[in-house]
Amino acid sequence: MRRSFLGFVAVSVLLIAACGDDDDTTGGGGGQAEEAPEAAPSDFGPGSNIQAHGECGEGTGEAATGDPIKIGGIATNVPGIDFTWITEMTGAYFECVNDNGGIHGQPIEYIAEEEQIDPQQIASLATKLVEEDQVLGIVGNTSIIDCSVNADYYGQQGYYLIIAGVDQACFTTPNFSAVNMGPYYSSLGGAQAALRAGAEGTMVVVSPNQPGFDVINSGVTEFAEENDMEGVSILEDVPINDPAGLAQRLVAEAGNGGGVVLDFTGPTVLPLLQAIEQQGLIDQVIWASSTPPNDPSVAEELSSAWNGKFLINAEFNVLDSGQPDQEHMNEIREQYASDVPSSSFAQMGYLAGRVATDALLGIEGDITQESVNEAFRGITNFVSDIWCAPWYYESGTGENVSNNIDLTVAPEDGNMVQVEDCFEIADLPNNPLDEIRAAEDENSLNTG
Amino acid sequence: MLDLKPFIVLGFGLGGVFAMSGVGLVVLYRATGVLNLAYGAIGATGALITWSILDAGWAPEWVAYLACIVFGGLVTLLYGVVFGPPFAARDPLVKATATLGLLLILLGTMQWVWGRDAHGITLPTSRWNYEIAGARISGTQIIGVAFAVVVTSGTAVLLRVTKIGTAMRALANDREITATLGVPVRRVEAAAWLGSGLVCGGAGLLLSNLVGLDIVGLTFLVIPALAAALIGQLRSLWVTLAAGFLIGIVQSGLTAFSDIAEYRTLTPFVLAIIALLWFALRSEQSLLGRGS
Repeated sequence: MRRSFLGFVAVSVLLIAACGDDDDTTGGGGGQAEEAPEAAPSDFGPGSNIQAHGECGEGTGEAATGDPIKIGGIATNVPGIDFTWITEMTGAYFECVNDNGGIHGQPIEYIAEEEQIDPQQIASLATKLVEEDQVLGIVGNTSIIDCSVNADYYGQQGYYLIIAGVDQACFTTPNFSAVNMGPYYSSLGGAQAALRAGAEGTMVVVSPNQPGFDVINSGVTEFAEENDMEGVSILEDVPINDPAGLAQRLVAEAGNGGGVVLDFTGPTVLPLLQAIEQQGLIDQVIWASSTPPNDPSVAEELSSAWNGKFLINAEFNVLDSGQPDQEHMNEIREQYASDVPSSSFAQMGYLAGRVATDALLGIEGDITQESVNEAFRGITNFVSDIWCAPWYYESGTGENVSNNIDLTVAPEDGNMVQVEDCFEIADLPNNPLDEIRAAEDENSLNTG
Repeated sequence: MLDLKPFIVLGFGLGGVFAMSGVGLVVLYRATGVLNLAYGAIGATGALITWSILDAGWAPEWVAYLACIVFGGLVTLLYGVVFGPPFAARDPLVKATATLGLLLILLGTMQWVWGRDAHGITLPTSRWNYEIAGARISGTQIIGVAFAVVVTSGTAVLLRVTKIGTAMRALANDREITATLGVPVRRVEAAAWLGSGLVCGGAGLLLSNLVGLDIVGLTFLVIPALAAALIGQLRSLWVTLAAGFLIGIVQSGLTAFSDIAEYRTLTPFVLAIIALLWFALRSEQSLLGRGS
C-alpha cells in the first residue's frame, strides 16, 4: 500500500505540474530604433468614429428588440493566461449597443467561448460557432492557438475575424485583422525603446515557454543583430518559481549596459520585477517589456526605484489619457464589466466591439454572414484616440498588422505615464511591415 | 557558463522555500495520514488576505501578517474537523484526492476575488539585504531557511518526546487501536490540522515574498514540496528538509548553464524519480537478500 501511495503521489505531482505549467502570454507592441517619436495619440484629433459621451452604437437610449444578430468569440482561459477579459469587454460594449438601439433595432447576441490551448477543442468550438450557432461574424477572439488551428476553416467558411492577436499566424493570414499588434511586434517595440535608452552590447528577450514564442522572440534577436548587438532568446516556464535566479541570469546574459525585454503578463512579471529590485539589478541593464504590464495594478505595486526605468511598449494610449474614447471605455467597463481590470486587454476588447459595431451599422440591406464579413473587411481609417494611428482591416498584402505604430510608458510613483510618443515598429527583413506600410500609403488606409 | 556562485547562494533561499513546504506536508501526513495537496493554495489565499488588509489600510501591518497565519490555521482546522472523521478509514489515496477539492475551491475563490490584478507584499525583512558571492540574500530568505530548520526540529521533538506527539504517531499507524486505548482521537487530529495550518499560513506569508504573490505560482509550489516529501518517503522530516535544499540548489545552479537552464524546473521531478527508483531497487535487493 505504501509504495502504491508513493506512486500515486508521484503521478499527482506530474498531473498538477501539467496544469501549473500552462502559462502566460502577452499582447504585444513596437517602434523604430533611431527615429524620433512622432506624435501622441491625442494629436490625431477627434475623427468621425470617436464615440460620444455615454453613447454606444446608434445612441438612442432605447433597448433593441428585433431579431438578434449572432456574433461569436473565443478566448484562452488557463491558469496563468486569462484572455477572457477581452471577450468580456467586447461583450460589454455589445450590451451597451443593445441598450442603445442595437443595430438598427436588432440586438447583438454575443456568444463567447473559452478554450484551454487544446487544438481539438478549439477546432470544435470554431465549428460550433459557425455551424451550430450560425454566427454571422466572429469578433474579439484572443487565443494562443486559434489562428494557427482554424485559419483555413474560417477562410473556407468565408469569415473575416476582428481579433486581438497573439501568435504570428494572426498577423500573416488575410482572414484575421487584430486591433492590437501582438507580442512579436510589441516585444520588438520594447527592444527599440531599450536601444534608444542606451542599451548596448546584448539584447535579451524572455517569453513564456509556450508554443510559438520562439518565433515571437525572433523579432527582438533579429532587431538586435540589425543594430550590431547580440540577440539572446530565452523561454521561461511560468509562473516563475525562482524570480531572483532568473533576474541574475538575465543580467548576466545581457552584460552591464545591455537591454532586457520581458514578455509576460502583469501578475507574472511583478514578482520578477520585485526580485530584480531586491537583487539590486535595476540599474545594471535597460529593462523593457511588451504591452501587458501596462496595467495600473503593476504600477501600484512597484516601488519608486522603478520610476522611469521599466520601458513598456504600449499598443494603446495610457488608460488615464482623459481622451473621449478612453473615457468612454472606462465608463462602459465600470457599467457593464466592472470585474474586468482597467488594462490594455480591456482596451483590446473595447476596440474590437467598437469597430465591429461601426461596420454593422454601415451595412445597407440584409444583415447576413456575407454582408457582415464584407463590412468587416471594408473598414478603413477608423479613428480612435486609443490608437496612435487610424485602424483598417485589410492591407491588401495578405498580411494584416493594422496597429503598427505605438508608444512607450513607464511606471512613475504608482502610475503608468507616457515616456515616448508614437513611433513606428521597426520593419525587419523577416517581418512584412515594409510592404504593409507601402500598401497603406498607396491605398490611404490609415490617414484618418 | 555563467558564474555559478550567485546561483548556488540563491539556491539555498529557494531550497528553504521548498523545504519548509515539504516539511509542512510531511508533518500533517505523519500525524493524520493525509497528504494535503491544497497546502500551497491555503498559503496563497492567506497571503492575499494579508495583501487586502494592507492595501485597504484596515489594520496595522503586524495584524495583516498575523491574519495570513491565522487563516491558514483556521481553514486547515475546519477542513480537518469536518472532513477528517468521515475520511479517517479511507485509503490514503482518497484522503489526498479529497484535498484536491479544497485546492480547487480556493483556487477558484482566489481567481474570482483577486485573480485579475497583479499583487505584491514586501515584508520589512525583505529590505534587509546581505551580499554574498554576487547575490543579495534578504532577511526574509534567511528567515525562510531558519523557519524550515526550526519547524523540522520542533516537530521532530514534539513527535518524539511529548504526549500529544506520541498520540499523533500512534494515530498515523492505527486510528482504531489508538482510539480503543483512550486517546482523544478527534482532539489530537484537530491539533495536528491546526498546527499544520499555522505552519502553512506562515510559509505562505514568506513564500509570497520570496517567489511573489502569484495565485497560480504559489498554489502549484506544492509540486517541488511534494517532490521533497517523496524523497523523504513522507516519513523523514530531516530527509525532506535536506531534499528541499538539494532541489533548490540544483535547480538554481542549473540556471547558470544557458543551454539547459530552460529545463531546470524539471529538477524536482528528476530527483524524485531517481529517489523512487533507488528506494525500489534497495527494497528489491533487501527482499533478494532475505530470500537467499
